[in-house]
Parts: sequence; C-alpha cells; structure tokens
Amino acid sequence: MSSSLSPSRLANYATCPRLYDYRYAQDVNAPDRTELYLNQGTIYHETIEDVCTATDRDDDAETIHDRAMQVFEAKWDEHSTPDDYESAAHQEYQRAENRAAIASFFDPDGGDGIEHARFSAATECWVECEVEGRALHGKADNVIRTEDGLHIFDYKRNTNGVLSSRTAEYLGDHLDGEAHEPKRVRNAFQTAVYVEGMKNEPFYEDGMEVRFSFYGLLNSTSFESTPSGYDVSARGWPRETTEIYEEHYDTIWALIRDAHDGITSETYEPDLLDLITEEACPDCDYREMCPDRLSTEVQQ
Amino acid sequence: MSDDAEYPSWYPVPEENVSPEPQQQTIIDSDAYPMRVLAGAGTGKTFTMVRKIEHLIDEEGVSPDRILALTFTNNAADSMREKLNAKLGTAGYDIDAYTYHSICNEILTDYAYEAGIDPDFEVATDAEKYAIVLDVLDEIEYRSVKPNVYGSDGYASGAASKLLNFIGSMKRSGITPDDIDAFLGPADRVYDLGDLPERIETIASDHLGGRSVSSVLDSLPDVRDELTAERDALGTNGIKASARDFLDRLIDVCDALETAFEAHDNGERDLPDNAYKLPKYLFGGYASGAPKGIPNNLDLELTDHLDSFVSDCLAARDLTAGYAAYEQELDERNLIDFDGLVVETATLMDSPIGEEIAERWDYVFCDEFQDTDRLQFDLVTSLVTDDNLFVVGDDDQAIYEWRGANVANITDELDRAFTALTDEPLEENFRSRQPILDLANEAIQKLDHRERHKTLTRVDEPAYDGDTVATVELPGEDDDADGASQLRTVVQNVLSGAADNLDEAYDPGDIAVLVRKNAHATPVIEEFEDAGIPYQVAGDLATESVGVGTVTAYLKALARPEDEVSWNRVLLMRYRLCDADLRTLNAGDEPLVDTLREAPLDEFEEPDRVAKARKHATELLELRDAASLSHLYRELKDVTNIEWYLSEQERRDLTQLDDVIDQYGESAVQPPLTPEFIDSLEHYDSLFDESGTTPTSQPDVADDAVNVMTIHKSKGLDFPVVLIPQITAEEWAPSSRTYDALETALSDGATAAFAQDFVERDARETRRVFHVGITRAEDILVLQGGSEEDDEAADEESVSERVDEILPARIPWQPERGHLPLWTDVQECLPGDAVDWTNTLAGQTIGDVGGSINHDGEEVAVETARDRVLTLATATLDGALSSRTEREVLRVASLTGPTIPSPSLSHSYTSLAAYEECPRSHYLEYVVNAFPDYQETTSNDGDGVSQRTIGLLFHDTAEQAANQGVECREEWYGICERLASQRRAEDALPAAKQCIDRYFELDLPGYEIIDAEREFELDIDGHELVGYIDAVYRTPDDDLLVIDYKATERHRDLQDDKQLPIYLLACRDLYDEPVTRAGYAYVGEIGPKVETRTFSDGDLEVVRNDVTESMHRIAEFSFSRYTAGEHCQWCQHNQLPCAPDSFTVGPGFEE
Repeated sequence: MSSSLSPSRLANYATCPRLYDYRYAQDVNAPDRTELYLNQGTIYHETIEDVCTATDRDDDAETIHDRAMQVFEAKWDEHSTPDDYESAAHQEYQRAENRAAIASFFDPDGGDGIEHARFSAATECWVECEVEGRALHGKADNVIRTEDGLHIFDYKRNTNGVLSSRTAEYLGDHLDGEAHEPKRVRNAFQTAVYVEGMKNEPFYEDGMEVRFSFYGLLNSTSFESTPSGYDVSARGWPRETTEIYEEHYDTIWALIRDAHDGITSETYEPDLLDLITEEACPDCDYREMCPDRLSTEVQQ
Repeated sequence: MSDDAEYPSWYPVPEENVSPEPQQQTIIDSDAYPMRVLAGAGTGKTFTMVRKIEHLIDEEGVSPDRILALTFTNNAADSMREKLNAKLGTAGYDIDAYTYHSICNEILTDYAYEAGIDPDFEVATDAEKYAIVLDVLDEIEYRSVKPNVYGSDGYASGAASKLLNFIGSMKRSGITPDDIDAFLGPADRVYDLGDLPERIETIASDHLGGRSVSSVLDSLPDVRDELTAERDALGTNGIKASARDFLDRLIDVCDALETAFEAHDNGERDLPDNAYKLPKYLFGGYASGAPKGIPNNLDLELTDHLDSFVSDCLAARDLTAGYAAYEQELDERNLIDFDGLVVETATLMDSPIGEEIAERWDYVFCDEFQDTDRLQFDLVTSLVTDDNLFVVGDDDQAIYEWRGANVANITDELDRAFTALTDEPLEENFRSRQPILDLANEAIQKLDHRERHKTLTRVDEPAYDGDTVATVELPGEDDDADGASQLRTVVQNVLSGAADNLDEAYDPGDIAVLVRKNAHATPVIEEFEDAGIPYQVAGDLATESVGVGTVTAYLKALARPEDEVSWNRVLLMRYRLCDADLRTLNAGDEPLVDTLREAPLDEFEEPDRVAKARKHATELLELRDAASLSHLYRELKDVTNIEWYLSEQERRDLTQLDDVIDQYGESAVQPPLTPEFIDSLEHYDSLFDESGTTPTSQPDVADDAVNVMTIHKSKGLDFPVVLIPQITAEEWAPSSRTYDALETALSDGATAAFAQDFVERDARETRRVFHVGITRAEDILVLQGGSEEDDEAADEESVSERVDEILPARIPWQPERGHLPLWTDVQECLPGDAVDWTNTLAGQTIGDVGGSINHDGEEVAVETARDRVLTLATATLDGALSSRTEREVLRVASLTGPTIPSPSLSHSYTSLAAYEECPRSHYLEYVVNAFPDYQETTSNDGDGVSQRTIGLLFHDTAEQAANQGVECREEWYGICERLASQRRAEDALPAAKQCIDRYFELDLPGYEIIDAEREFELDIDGHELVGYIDAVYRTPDDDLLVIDYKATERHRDLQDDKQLPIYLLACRDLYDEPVTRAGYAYVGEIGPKVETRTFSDGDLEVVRNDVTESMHRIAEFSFSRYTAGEHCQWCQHNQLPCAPDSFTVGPGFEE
C-alpha cells in the first residue's frame, strides 16, 4: 500500500511539485515566517476544542459563553508570545480581535458556536480513507451531529477565497492546466478526504448525510476609534462545500490521484512552469533558491 | 559621457579654457551684497558662484576661511571644493564648503556645550531611526491608528511606517511634539470635531434637496444659520480655530450661492443645468459622489477637506506621543537625525552665541536656494553678517516643496529679509539646443503664480543636423499601452544613428530615461532587458536582479545561518552544486550549515565544489561577528569572487547595494552584520522610498549604460539625449499628501489649514518637475504621451467655468483641480521644428541594430541565433548532439569582422611591453578588451589592498601636489587623504603615506617641478604611441630630468629599459631644450632610491627602431600566438591552456 497523505500535502504538491520537494521531501528550513497567525490559529482551534469537549448538550448558552471566554484567556496566555509581535500594542490588538471573534461565535444570543459545542460528536477527529489504492488521512476540527447525520467544520480565520459554487468550475481548469487554483483545490481535497474519511468513523451509520463546511471566525472585523481607545468587533459565518464536492466529484478525485501519484513517484519537475511562475512563485518561500524559477529570470 | 576617459568625474580639472559670459562676468565682478541670482537651467550658476568666490579671494583679497559656501549634496560640495582647489591651489581647501546639513553638524560639534548636547553625538542612520521607531511603538496612543505593525502588504501600511512618515512631515517643518499637543489639545477635544463633517453633510441633505433653483434658494438661509451655529460653538484656538475658519469659508459659499441664485431668479444670470443640485453637492449632502447632472470630475465636495483634516488630526493625536518618545530615545542614544541637525542648529543660532558663530564668516554663498525649507532659511539668515549674502537658485526648478521646501524662500521671503537685495539674472544657457529651450520657455508659462519670468537662450550653439524635439504618441488601448516598446525602438535607433533624422550615433551613457514615477521605469527596463540595451537605474536596490539576489542571499545566510533557503541559493548560484549534492546537504535533521561544514566529502559527487563552499562559509562565518559590515562584505566579495559570476548588468546593479552597505552606520566603528541589517534591507523600499528623492542625495551616473532615473534625481545633471515617458494627465496627476493641512496650520497658523489647495500646489510643482526634465536634454528631447479623448469634455468645461465664477475667493479649491492636461499643453507649446517620431523612429528600427549573425549560410536575427546556441548547448548537456560532417560556424560580424587592425588602435609603453611578453595577452587586453578569467583570489595578500590602488593614490597625489605647487609633506598627506576618501580607498592610505614619506627622503622634493602627468602623443611611422610622463624636474644643475615613480616592488633594469627612452623621445616634441636623462624613483618598499641614466641619441634611435618594428608586428595581432612564462602569473587570462597548469584553478577551458 502507498503511504498515506494529507490534503495539505496534496495541496502543496498541486501548488507546485518543486515546493513539495523543498518543503517535505528535502525539508529545507525557510527563514522565519511570521508565527503570529499560526499561533492565533492554535488559540482559537484549541479554545473551540476545549469548549466542545467540556460542553453537554443541555448546558445553557451563558455557561457555554463564559466557559469559552475563560478558555480563550488561558489559551491566549499559553500560546501567544510577545516575540511574535513588534509591539505590545500590536499583540493586544490581535488579542482583542480574536477575543471578539470567540465572543461572537459563542454569543449566547444566537452564536453558531453554542450549537457547535452542544452537538459536537468529536473534535480533532483523525479520519482515514483509501480510494483506488491511495491512502489519505486528515484531522477534522469539529464533527457535529445533525438531524440527518454529521456536519464537519474546519475553522479558519476567514473564508476569503474559499471554494464556492461560483468558483468551483476553476477546479476543472486547474486539472486541465488552464488555470492555477491551488487554494481552491486544497479546499476540495479537504472536503473529499473528510467526507470520505468520516464514513469510516465508528459513529457513522449507513445512510447518514455527511456535510462539510469551512467556518471563518473573523470573516468580518471592525475597528472603531473612541477618545479613550479603540473598540474592535468580529463576526463569523460558514461556507459549505458539500454540494460542490458532489457536483465535481470526478474532477476532484482526478486531482487527488494526480497529486498522490506525483508524490509517491517522487516526480518534482514542475509541469506548467509559466502558470506556476506567475501564480505560485511570487508567494513561495523557496523562490530565492529555486532553479526552476531562477532559470526563467536568467533567460531574459 | 565624457571623452576624457582617463579622468574620473571627481577629478579636479581647472576650467582654464572656459571664460565667463558677459552675464556671468557681471555677477562675478559685482560687489553688491546681498545679491540674488535667479538662474535658469543650464546657465552655469554653480560655475558663476565658484568664479565669484575665486574673484573674492584673488582680486579682493578676502581670506578663504572667511567664506562659507552652502549647497545641497555632498557631491556638489565636494565638486565645488575641488574646482576651487584646482584653480586656487590649497587656498581652495580653506573655503568652508558644506551642505546645508553638514554645516549644522560642524556647528553643533564645535558648540555642543552651548547647544546643550553631548559633543560626541552621532547622526542617526535610516536603520537606526527604524530601530528606534520599532522601540517606541508602544508609546503611541492607539485610538484611530491601528496597532498593526505589518499587514497583508508588509510594513508599508503598518504603525511603524505611519509613525516614521509623521515624524518626517512634522520635523522637516520644525514642528515639535509640544507644538502639536498645543494645537490639538486633549483627545476629547479632537474627537469633538470627529462628527462635524458628518453634521455638515446632514445639514446639506436635510435642507438642500429642493428640485429647483428657487426652492434651494429659499433653504440657503437655514443652512447658513445652522453652519453659523456650528461655527459659534467652536473655540478660537488651535484645531478648533481651523475648523471654525473652514465653517467661515462654507458660510461664504452660502452667501455666494445665494447671490448667484438670486441673480438667476431675477433673470440676471445664467446658471448651468441642474444648478439646483450644486449646493447640496458642494456641502457633501449626496451620499455617493456627484449626482446625475453634476460632472464627476468637478471634484468639489468641500466637506471632504474638513473630513480628511480631522482624520489627520486624529492620527496625529495618537502618533504625537510616539514622536515625543522617538525624540527622547534619540537623545538617550546620543543621536541626532538629519532633520534634527537643522532644528538644533537653528535654535543655537537664535541664542546669544549665534552672533559669535556667524562672525566666523564674512560671506555666505548659497546654491540651490529654492530647495531650502523654512528652518534652513532661518539658519542662512542667521549666519549672514553685514548682509554679505549671495544666493543662486531657480524658482522654476523648485521640486521639493512636497518635502518641506519653501519656494518663497528665494522670492518673497528673501525680499522681506533683505531690503537692499540686488537681483541679477542668468538666462544664457550652455546646455540645450534652442528648440528644447523654446519648449521649456513656453511650457513653464502655463505655470500659475509664477513669480519671476525668465527666458532661456542658448549661447554658442554648435552645428547640428538632426531632429531635436520629438514627440511620440502613446499607442491606444492595445498590448503596449505603456508604450515601452516605442522607447526601446527609439533608443535602438539613437544608438545606431543610422536614421537620417539623427546627427550622430549616441552611446548608451549619453541617453537618459527620466520618469515621473518609478512605475514608469519598470516596463522600459523590461524592454531594455529584452533588447540587450545596458541600463542603470539610479538609487534602486535592484532587488529583482538575480545577481544582486545571490549576493544578498549570501549576506542573509551569514546573518541567519538557519536560513537554508539562502544557503541553497548561494550553493546553487555561486558554487554551482549539482542537484544530487544539494539533496545530500538538505537531507537529514542536521541544519544545512552544519552538514556543509562537517559531512565527509566523499558523500558528494563533486567534492571540490562542496569543499570550496565549506572553506568560504567557514571563513566568513568566523569573520562575521568580529568584522564591520563593510569589511565582511568586502571579504565576501574577495574570498568568493562572487562578482565574477555576475553579468555586467548585474555588476552595475550591485553598486547600489555597495552604497547601502557603505553608508550603514555612520559612526566611527561600523556595526557587524546583524539580522537587523537584513531586515532593514528588506524594508528599505517600503520604509525609505523617499530616501532616494531628497534634495540631499544625487545618484552616480553610468557612462556605459542608459541612465534610468526619476526626474527628481536628475536635477543638476544633463544628457545629450533625454526621453520622458508616459506624459498623460492621468499619470502625472498631482495629489495632496497626508498632514498637508495640519502641517500648514502648525507652521502658518490655524487659519492657514484651508487657505490653499494642496493639489493645486502639487500641480504647480508637477509643471516645474516637467521643466526640470525637459531642460536636462542637450541635443535630443523625446517626449512620449497622449491624451484621452472625451466627448463630454466641452460640456463639463463650461460647467466648471461657471461653477468657478460662483465660488467665493476664500474657497481655494477650483473645479477639476488636479487635472493637469500636460500633453495638450505640450502640443500647444511645441516649437515649429518639432517632429513626430511615432511612426518613424519610435515605430521601427532603421539600419542594423544589434548587428547581424550568419549561421549555416543564412543571416539570422540575434534572438534566433541565441536560441540556436541555447538549443545546441542543451543538446550537449543531454548528450543528444548529433554529429555532422560539416562544421557549423556562427559568424557574428562584430566579433569576427574585419581582420585589419582597427585604426583607433594606439600603442603605449605598457601595451608594447605586453606584446613583447605575449602576443595573445596583448590581443586580449588591448585589442579586444576581453573579460578577465575567473581568478582564485590569493588569500595571502593580507590586508587586501591592491598595489595598484596604492600606486594610483601616490601618483595622483604627486600630480595634484605638483599642479598646486604644494611642497611640504603634510600638504601631500592632505591631498592623499582627500583622494582616498573620494575613492573610498581609505584602506590604501597608510601604504600611500609611506610612499610619500619615502618620496620626501629623496632629493627630488628639492628640485623644481616642471611638469606632472604630462600627456604625450608620438607619431612613429604612422603608428600612434601615447602615454603620460609622471614628472619632469629641473635639477640644481639646470638640466631637465624625466622621472617615473614606482610604488611597486619590482626593480627595473635601466640598460634594457624601453620606457624611459620612449619618454625621452616624446620630450623632443614637448620641450625646447634637450632632455637626455631619465630614471625611476622607487617609493615602494624597495625604496627610497632614485636610479637614473643618460641616453644618447644613438640609444634612443635603437629603441625607436625596436618600437617601430614592434608596432609593425602588432599590425598582425592574433590570438593564436603566445609565449608562456613567468609573466603568466600576472596575466588576467591565465586560465587559458596556454598558461602553465599551475595557474589553473578550475576545470579550465579548451580551445
């Protein structure tokens, strides 16, 4: 059997095979990237996880909210370090923003988080599946029981640029080499692996509906200036990709097969260099060392 | 640009042959002070100023040290000093020639005690300022300023960058944190005004929604009442006074509207259609811009001005605490920033000691006075005693108003400060051809509020047969909308000179592309890259240059050894490691740098390359913490020879990084390489994008590449050919800047905030920028532009005009402000003989551009040939090259072309000696000017100073000393030190001084020096032999003696020598008396000694015959003949197989 791969690795490969080579195959250490968003991600992920674990179905909303705020403060102290920030003020501002996001998510008056906590079946749920001999795995942030089955949530800072019904057609373009859409391909990989993986979980029963959504906790933030300081607020909402997965099932699995086979066979030569140079290179951590990119510059 | 390639640009050459023109002479001879000279572009204002100073010293007997000369750039101050020195000898150096900033540095150092500062203070560098700003971020009182230090676009929009900009804006105008505190008051007071713009808009939308002129007219009194109530509720100090003044102006608008509408109702006045919507629109009553019927580009939502002023004030309220903390931090670190130098000095000059300081000088001369700011004006006036002030400048070239320069300094302010001012004009231009000046004269007429009118006229215009002013119409909306390929074609044509419309072919260094903004340069550079046109971008870090990227990566890797991306870059691009070896280094959990240093070499496929990388990395990492950044950088370049791997373009690109590193840390001891330096390098562009555009910095100009720079940077420079791209209303649109209104209110009083339109001000400046651009051109000016056709334009124009008639005088904002129809103006101002190059020289190349190449019997384009070579090379690498019986040869005309010696080949003693040693080395060095081979640097040359540098320094010192009649050792030292600092060759200074010491142990200093660095040209049998004689002395026996200085360790045999006889042959033409004696003066380590001998006529004839024979033989120069031997070790081409194997460092080349 081939080695098991995560959506994240597959997506890296889909972004650029050479990127996968450097990041995973050769494990080249890139210069310090800013850790602050990474640590903030850990904070809200762990906060939601802890709140879901501690919450019973009949806990009242206020209790859940207060619990969330307490957990958040503890997690913030645990994971947020001044080293990530150039100033204490910047750190405090980020704390306020994240805190506002958690407060809004667990708003006793209709915050989505209240239901997410009450009906959570599992958090940080390890899922595995094998499709056509290709092993895959992933970790789902939260699995919620619904009337008709299960709903998996992946929590993010925001859902800007996440796969939508309007942009789903780009998946086919990516497969055909006509467009470069690694972020949306990644969303599709996540949806596929979690939906299929969930079907192997003990709490899955035949006939259950399995849904998948991204949830952007800080989809909308606002900054209000006052004579004594500033106020921030944040609000989040989900974006579901289940239907897109069903509609583009064949395309998505063809993409997964390509990436999986590429990684397994250690094929790291980028195919569509022009597209990748334009779309992926500008943000790549390895651009300064990559002969594939440098050769295009030198040729000029 | 100069034919005189022997002399670098800084070299002091006395302008003996240039005599002043009448206008200049009047100024030079005049003893009227104070005097102001408004001098147009290219009229020789600095020349005149220097001559006037000379005149004072030479003719009026003024002591040089009683004269203070001020200018903006170090280059200008140095060149002024050099020119005076060249003319006056050492006396020239006694003149205090300073920049406006360095004089402050000097005064503050001398009077530190009186100024209340530590005399050991240092000037803060950009990197230090940035570090301090990061340190004080927590002092900002975040209310409206977001605390983000960086955002999605990096640091540019973050708090650090906001604070840095704020401090810059305020400090340039001498505004202190206390001033701002006093103006704004506590936060509550500022926030009271926060809603005022919105309330005004509400008033407008509540009352002014009427559907006819008369119904709106009825509502206007209510609006006035409410605005008046708002006004009366405001205080009369600081920010409130500004807001109050704004409301006053709006009330005036109410009155004016009422008058106009009443007149309309009475049938006495015509109003534009939809005029009833105008009041609501003016006061901002429409939620989303102009309503239907009001032209969109009217741009007259007046309340917006208050709104942006208030938000600037809110931001200022937050940032002021950060500014105060920054000041305090500077103080604690004993630093003064650039702006602070002037602030502190102005304060000191205001104190009782000021007078004493001013008495140090009798005369003050000021250059580029239009660029001075308010503080500098005060400084200058406080330095002037007895009105002995001389000021030159050009108000038409004032382009730094946006950085705080006060144009009025050179006009009204000067009038006010000195009632007895004498004005002299300088309008005779020595630079540009008359049609260029005609255009410049015409176009500047469009400048509103132009105080003084000058008309530039060319004098002594040389003959010229070609187009002078050419326009190129930008293509429409197709692929080449930025028109860059047009400019590429123009440059190609100008370089080839084949077109009939051109008088001659120009060199790349003759051409400049001057841009309004950096974005205009990018597409042009890309085209130049494609076409292989060499270029240099002034003041640009060239971060996109691959070669610079590799050098920077090396620094990054050394600063942060855990940065494996940078190591990989270096290993790939400098050491050319193969993929397998890179994978070996990257494998495993060990950090790459450890593997590089420790892994057994036999694990690698190319162990030699890895070993070399290991050696260099280890050496440099050890050096890192102990050495200064500059030293480490120099070692990096020496040890790794990394520059050899760069293309010529990349080496040009690298000079900017050289400069940044040189200037990093101005303290006596430069800090070592740190991660902070790397950070500052990365933020260089976003944080200090203005540093290249201050009046205080002037870029170095390339003489072998097309110069690309902003017009701001081109000030004071000139080029035979100037191209100005993308002249359109949109691309040149003026704008206002953050804190404009606040800064003005703080400088000129609260009611000044809304007294002028800053966009209009910028529009005027934009016209002056254009003027500066035009007047850089000597022979050819190419203007590329276009204007958008607008069908509604005529309609809108009439609306604008009529609205303008209604608005009261106290409203500074005009309709369509910010619309600068520059291209339309150009068309109107074009001189009669201007030509349109759109379809000619910008449309197609004429003649052979880039040469032709023959391959396989067919003539192919350069690109095609290049592709074929690449395909063949790839095939070789892949082992897929098919063997053919016939040999294919690429013939490049410019390389294989005519085999007869080029007529310009001239000989010198050194070139002949080279030929004697080895014809091949002569061919490579003197005939084809070949690229030197890769050379392993010898690490045993100790301090890394080349003998050549030391020798040059000594020779040039000796020459200057001779020309100035300097006879004592200390003065020689002085010259030598100055030269070393100009060349950044301080390293060579101690050795050069030792040479001077040895020289002074000889008898020579006691002899009379007749000539130094005397150039000669011998014609022998039709061959040209040229050279320089180091020195000719008159001995105490009244004989002439030719001396050649030798600072090297090599001893010469006088018997077989040819150099000295050649000099003596040359002397036959140079001197009336016979010269028979010549020798070497050894001032290097084998000295001091002088060895001379006498040469008879017979000796000279023998040498003459030898030399003639050599020169005949060289006529058949060729690559194929060579002689190997000892001399190969010094040969720049000893990696060729002709050299003994011992000199080969790499795999070597094969023929």
